[in-house]
Amino acid sequence: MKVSSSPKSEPDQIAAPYHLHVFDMLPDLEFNNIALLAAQICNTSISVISFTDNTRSLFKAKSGVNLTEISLDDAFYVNDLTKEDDILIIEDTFSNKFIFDNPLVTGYPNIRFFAGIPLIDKDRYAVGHLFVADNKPRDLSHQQLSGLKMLGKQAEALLNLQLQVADLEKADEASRNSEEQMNTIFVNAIDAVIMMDDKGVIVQWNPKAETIFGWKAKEAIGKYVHETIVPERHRVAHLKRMKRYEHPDEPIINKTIEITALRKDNTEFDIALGVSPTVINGNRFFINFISDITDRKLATNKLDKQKEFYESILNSLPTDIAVFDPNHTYLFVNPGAIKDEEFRKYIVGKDDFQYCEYRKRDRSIAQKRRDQFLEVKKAGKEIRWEDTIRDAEGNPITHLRRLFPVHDDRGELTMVIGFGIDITDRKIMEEKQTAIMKQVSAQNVQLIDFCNIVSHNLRAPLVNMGMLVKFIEESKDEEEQKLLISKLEPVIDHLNTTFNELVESIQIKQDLEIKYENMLLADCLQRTIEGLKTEISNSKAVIEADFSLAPKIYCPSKYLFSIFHNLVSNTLKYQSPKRTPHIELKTERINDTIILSVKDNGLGIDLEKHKENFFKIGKVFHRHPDAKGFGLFMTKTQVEAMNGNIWVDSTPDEGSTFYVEFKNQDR
Amino acid sequence: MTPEKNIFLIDDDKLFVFLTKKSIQETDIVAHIKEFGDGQAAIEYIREIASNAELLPDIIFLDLSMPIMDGWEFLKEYILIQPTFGKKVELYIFSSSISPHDIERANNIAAVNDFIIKPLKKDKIREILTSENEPESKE
Repeated sequence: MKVSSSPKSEPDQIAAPYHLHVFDMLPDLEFNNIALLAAQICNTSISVISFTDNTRSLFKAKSGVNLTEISLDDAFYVNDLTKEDDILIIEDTFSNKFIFDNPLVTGYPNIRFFAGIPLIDKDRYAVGHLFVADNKPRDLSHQQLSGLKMLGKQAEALLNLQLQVADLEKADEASRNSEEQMNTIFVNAIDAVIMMDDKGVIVQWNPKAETIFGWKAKEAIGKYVHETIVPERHRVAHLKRMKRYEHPDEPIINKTIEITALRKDNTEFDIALGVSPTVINGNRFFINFISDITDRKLATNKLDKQKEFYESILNSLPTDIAVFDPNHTYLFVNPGAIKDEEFRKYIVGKDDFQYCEYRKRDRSIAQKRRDQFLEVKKAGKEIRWEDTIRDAEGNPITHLRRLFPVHDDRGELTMVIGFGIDITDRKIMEEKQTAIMKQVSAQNVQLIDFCNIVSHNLRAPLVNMGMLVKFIEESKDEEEQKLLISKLEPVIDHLNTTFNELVESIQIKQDLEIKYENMLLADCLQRTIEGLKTEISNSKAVIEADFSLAPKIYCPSKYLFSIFHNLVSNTLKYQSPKRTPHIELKTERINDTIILSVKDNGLGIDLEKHKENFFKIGKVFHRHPDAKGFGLFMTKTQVEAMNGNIWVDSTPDEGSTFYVEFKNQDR
Repeated sequence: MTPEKNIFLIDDDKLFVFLTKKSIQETDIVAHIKEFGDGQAAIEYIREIASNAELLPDIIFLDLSMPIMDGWEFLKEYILIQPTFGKKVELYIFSSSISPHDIERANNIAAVNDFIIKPLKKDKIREILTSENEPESKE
């Protein structure tokens, strides 16, 4: 027999996991039966099944005693007995020093004998006791003791079973509470919440769904989702998706998607939809969270459209546009700047050095651009320059490039924008214009020359003729008349010559189809010498020629003869009276150009003074009877008709050298 | 009695010089005419006599289109020495040019009294020879 060493230990340590109302729920009958059995087995007058709370021991079932509870102060035992075989037997209470004065011993029910075992719950708490007692001292046999223990076990089992039920009920209540919370959320959710089963039939429909879709819950529940909120054109896709969800293993992408939905009134609108699967009672359900994004969509649509609008402008401008961050990294490039989409994608976030490497281009291009960028950054204002590169065919492509910085409110550089405009056409036009201008001004000079020659060389003789005729008419003297008439003939001759020369020079300008041929210079010179036989022999002129470096010239024969004749006859015309004329003719070749030079030791010309007028029509620089100022004008006209040039070197009283350049002589 | 006129005729056109002289003769105004075939010869001579009012001409008839030194080049030199003259010298351009450009250019030169387009009419000659001397006539 064991006796607790301290049957009355500290009440604080008494565990009381259950409120008494839990024990109230325990079925009386079963516990009463156990108590009765215990009394019968142990042959005692009293048996009790008690449960303990913090202060009391509650008699749940009893026989032979008329008490429902006792104070724990009066209890014979302690509640911390947790071992199964912790059984307390007091054969005679009068002889127990701890309890002999216990009110239950000294007063009703006058206990002399006591045997109790603890009842242990599933969590190993001693929550109560089964005990038997009698009014006289006695003992328990082995059979009685083991019977009592078995009944204790029975009581424990019954207790634990009932506690489990109580737990379940409590859980049920808790779940009822959470369901309520869920419902609150469901009802007040700012999103529409629609629950459907795995066939797509609506089982739940919250008030927000009613607002958004226009269907009342009682109308919607029981309908197929696809018949309710899915626009007809999306139904096939929706059903396909539902079909996939029939397989429980099919992963549901729990991602919000934006789709078009249908209202009760058949209008469509945009929604954001998230789907969560759930299992209730072994059945799969899908909870759809839906928000109306019409407003957002409108806003984004507007933004998208604006963005699209600007991008389409930027992308279709025939201009190169590039935007850089303050570190010269590309933020944007339009197709004008980089045609190839791949390259265009590459360059964003990169700089020119990386791009040059990527395209296997010369680094110096990147360096040049970097320098320009730094210049803009430093200057804080736009710079512009022209860039000429050659295309695949070698044609020059010219861009006008501008780089300008963009600053924020505080004056910080936020980005740099680069523009490039292809000005090739403009450039070509400009060049053409310049050429035309040159041509026009040349033609203008020629026109003035013509005006002069008409005034002087044509009008002057005509004026003279008119005056002569008038004098002849007025004259009464026959001799005088004869003299005046004799003066008419040279005027007419002069007029005739001048007229022919003018016509000739006009023909040179107009004769664009004149025949070119290979001319032997030696032959040409021979013919010129023959034509000037008299002048040469009179002046005893010495003529030397060296055409060895370029013996032939490809040109119109008429022009070449004329050029030779004019240049050689000039040397004779303007010979120095102090010297015998010495004339040297020479050719030299520079690539496909041949230069003919005619050098004399004649009078020479003061170039300082006459430079501008040199080859002009009617210009004469020396007093010579045959000087009409026409030869050099003709020569120049012919040379220019062949795209060549003519120029002169001269020192007064030493001599002159005329140079004539013939181009395209590569044949 | 109209005083004798000292006239310089600067023109390379010999026929025109002949005709001009003939026209002047027919006005019955006595004149001494000195001819120059180009501007160079004329300006060199005028430079020599610039300080001698007796030898300086009363009137200069200047052609524009001449060899060696044309009328314009002559004028360039002439306006430099003209202020040193001890007398007033009238200068008339005689030209066959009908170019307005030439006329305008001539009118912009103060030393030029008039631009006369050839042919030279007798009336015009007479007008020039009789009127020019009135303001500062020297008896």
